[in-house]
Amino acid sequence: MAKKPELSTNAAPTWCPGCYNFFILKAVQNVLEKMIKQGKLKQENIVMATGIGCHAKIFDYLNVGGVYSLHGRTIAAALGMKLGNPNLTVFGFGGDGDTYDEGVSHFVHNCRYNADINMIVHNNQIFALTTGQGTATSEEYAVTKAQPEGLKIKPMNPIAVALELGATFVARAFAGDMEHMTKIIEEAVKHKGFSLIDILQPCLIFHNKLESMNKQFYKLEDKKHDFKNLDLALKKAREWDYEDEKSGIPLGIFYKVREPTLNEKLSNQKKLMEKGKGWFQVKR
Amino acid sequence: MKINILIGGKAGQGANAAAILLGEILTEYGYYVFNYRDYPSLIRGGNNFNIVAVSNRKIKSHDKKVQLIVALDENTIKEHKTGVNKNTPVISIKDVYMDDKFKKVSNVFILGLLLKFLDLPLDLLIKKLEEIFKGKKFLPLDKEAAESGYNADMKKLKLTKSEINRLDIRAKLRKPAHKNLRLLSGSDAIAKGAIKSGIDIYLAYPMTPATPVLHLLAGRQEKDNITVFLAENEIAVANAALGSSHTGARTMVGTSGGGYDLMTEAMSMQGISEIPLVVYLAQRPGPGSGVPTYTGQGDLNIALNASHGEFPRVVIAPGDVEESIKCTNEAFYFAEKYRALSILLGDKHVSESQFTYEKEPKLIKVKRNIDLKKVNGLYKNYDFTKNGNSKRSVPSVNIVKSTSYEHDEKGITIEDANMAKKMYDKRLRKEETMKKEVKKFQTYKIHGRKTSKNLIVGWGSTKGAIIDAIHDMDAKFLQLIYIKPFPKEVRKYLENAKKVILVENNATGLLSQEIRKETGFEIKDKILRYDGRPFEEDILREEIKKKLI
Ligand SMILES: Cc1ncc(C[n+]2csc(CCOP(=O)(O)OP(=O)(O)O)c2C)c(N)n1
Repeated sequence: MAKKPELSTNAAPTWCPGCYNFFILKAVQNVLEKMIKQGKLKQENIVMATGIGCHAKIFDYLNVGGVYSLHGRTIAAALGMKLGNPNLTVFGFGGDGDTYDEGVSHFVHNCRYNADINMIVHNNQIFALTTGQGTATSEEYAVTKAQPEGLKIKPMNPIAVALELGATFVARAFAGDMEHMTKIIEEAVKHKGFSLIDILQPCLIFHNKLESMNKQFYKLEDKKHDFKNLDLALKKAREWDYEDEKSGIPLGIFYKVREPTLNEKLSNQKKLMEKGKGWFQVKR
Repeated sequence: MKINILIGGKAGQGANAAAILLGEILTEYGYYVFNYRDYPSLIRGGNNFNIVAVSNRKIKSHDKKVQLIVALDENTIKEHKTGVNKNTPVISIKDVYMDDKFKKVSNVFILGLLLKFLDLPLDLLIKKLEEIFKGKKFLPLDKEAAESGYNADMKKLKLTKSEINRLDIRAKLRKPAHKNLRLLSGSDAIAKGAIKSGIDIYLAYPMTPATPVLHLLAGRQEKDNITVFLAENEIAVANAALGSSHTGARTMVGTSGGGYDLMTEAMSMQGISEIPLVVYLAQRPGPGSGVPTYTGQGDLNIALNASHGEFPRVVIAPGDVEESIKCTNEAFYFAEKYRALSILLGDKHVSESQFTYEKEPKLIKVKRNIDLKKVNGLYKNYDFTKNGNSKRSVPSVNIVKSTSYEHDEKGITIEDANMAKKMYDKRLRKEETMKKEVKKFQTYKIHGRKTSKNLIVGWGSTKGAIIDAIHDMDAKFLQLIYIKPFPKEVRKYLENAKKVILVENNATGLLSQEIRKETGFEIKDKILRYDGRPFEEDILREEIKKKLI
């Protein structure tokens, strides 16, 4: 077994005290530590792309390399890294504003591309770092400083969107359930292909529905959900519309299917994978 | 002596293909050829035409006045047998008998006819067809069409004997002695330069006139072991390119002005993250969607300045195919060595015209400038070096953080005033280092009569027409190749000249504004063209003459 990796940098976190981002960071570190110790991952082979927002500060705290990208460009940068070296384990950390507003085109198309990227969305249903405006997953009735009459626009359901677009691993987690969240992240890392984990993350300052949500959560695995069945996955995805405070909110893996990844389908990328090389090791 | 042959027809009739075939035949025969391509933004119909200029002089441009019009449809005659070409003889497909079975290959038929006309052997065309379409199903029909055209009844063509004599290329142009000449487009040259420089990944979203490079490189993936990927938009392209380059892949993106606008956020990110990036910006007339399939030099300022913040970049503008290969190579060199943003500024006129290519320019070997030594902990990706240029490493060797935020030496976000300034200063030092290194390269050229007091100033695709226009005049031409870092030493040429004339394919003389900014010299005489069309040798010569009186 490999020795315990150092997965924290020396940077002092600037998240609010008690922020659920700490939990997400910890969950990721738990998964990486376990898999590195098992010899399944190498720390220097792990990279991440982040966007800009509170979520993205994880870039400074998680001791792996990568690109602290621009707002919304998380998945584009992640895809680039995967094409640049298909043997890397690639993470994307985005916010809901980042992924479903500013960068939605990359989200849409990467669900189709199926590159092996683990996309983790810190979904606090608000633009937090810009002090609380409504995003694509905020409630129609949410009132913010920028939307004083309420958003007046229905939220998007990223789980359903990802399923319709052909994402091969689609899951939802809750940042307050460390054990469950950790397990889902581990499953996503093991999965080959594009994984979306939409992590519901209460924002203690601007969007906290912990009380109602806690009553709504249930786990798909407890209901013996068949994650191989796309129709059932879609049905489950539609159970919660990202604003109803009464309906159940399913957590867990909605859908998982192994299909050829983008890198496996592009012949020169496949060759690099077979040789275990990145482009920088190719002699020209 | 220069003969210009205009070949035109509806889109889909193959005027361009015929012009390329003719150009290649004449080039391989030993003549210098320049093939200008003009086409509107549509797929079928309209009027597409090429002007194939041929000479025994090293030409790089065409004339407005052509010596022959070859018409695949009637509209070509209507469109072109006017103005200076009112009396130009015409070979029209409708004036000769052609078997119906050749309808789809009428361009090859007329090419056969044209060869007879120019008193060139049919064999040249047959060999060329065999070479290009080897193993293709339609090759026999093509060959038959060529032969049939060659043997067609010329008497029906409404041409006088003297008109025919005037076009006898072999009689007019001394028998060529050149060897190993080839025809190459600017796009061919950019792709070639990229491959010779060891490109790994090309990312793009289609946009004329950058698209041919996308097609060319995509077609070379297997042979040259590269990856070409068409992403969802230019924003994705440019940001993915930074991701790809972060891992050590030598990465290039290509687009035109509109796509470049979308990419500018990533250029700015390049500035702070110092991830190497080569950008091919092929201009066409703007603003907005402009005139998509035509040419212009209106994007100089965005190449030089677009993107927020202050950071170093290199902007290089090739004017022909040799320079396109060389400048692409230098763009990769700077990107790789200085983790810089290299912008190759081309346009439709270079990218889609074909030039006679004599020999490969001397190229630099672009080394992978990557530190493969493993270090403990975070790699110092932004080491405070004296010359401002920090070494870089890559994932799988080290833990490397590249970032869009201001950062410390290891790529961790900072907001501290001291560190913010220190890191800014590091990048500014790098810019100074790059300015010194640039001096090793040919940042500008002087063409024409070196002793002349008449100075023409230009950059990029106007090169061909300017050199040709002044070839027998008392004038010299200052061609700027590096616009950034700007070679300030050109000031002496400007000051020593009696007359300085700017020639640019834009409306406000963007280069002269830059020259003024960099040297303080103001150019008053300007020849500007901004109708989407390039300068022709004959028209430009008249304009320069007027200014010189
Ligand atoms: C192009 C661009 N537009 C706007 C911003 C300002 N901005 C910074 S963070 C942010 C919102 C982040 O929201 P989200 O992605 O949901 O992340 P959170 O802060 O909630 O974690 C915005 C809009 C920016 N940095 N760049």
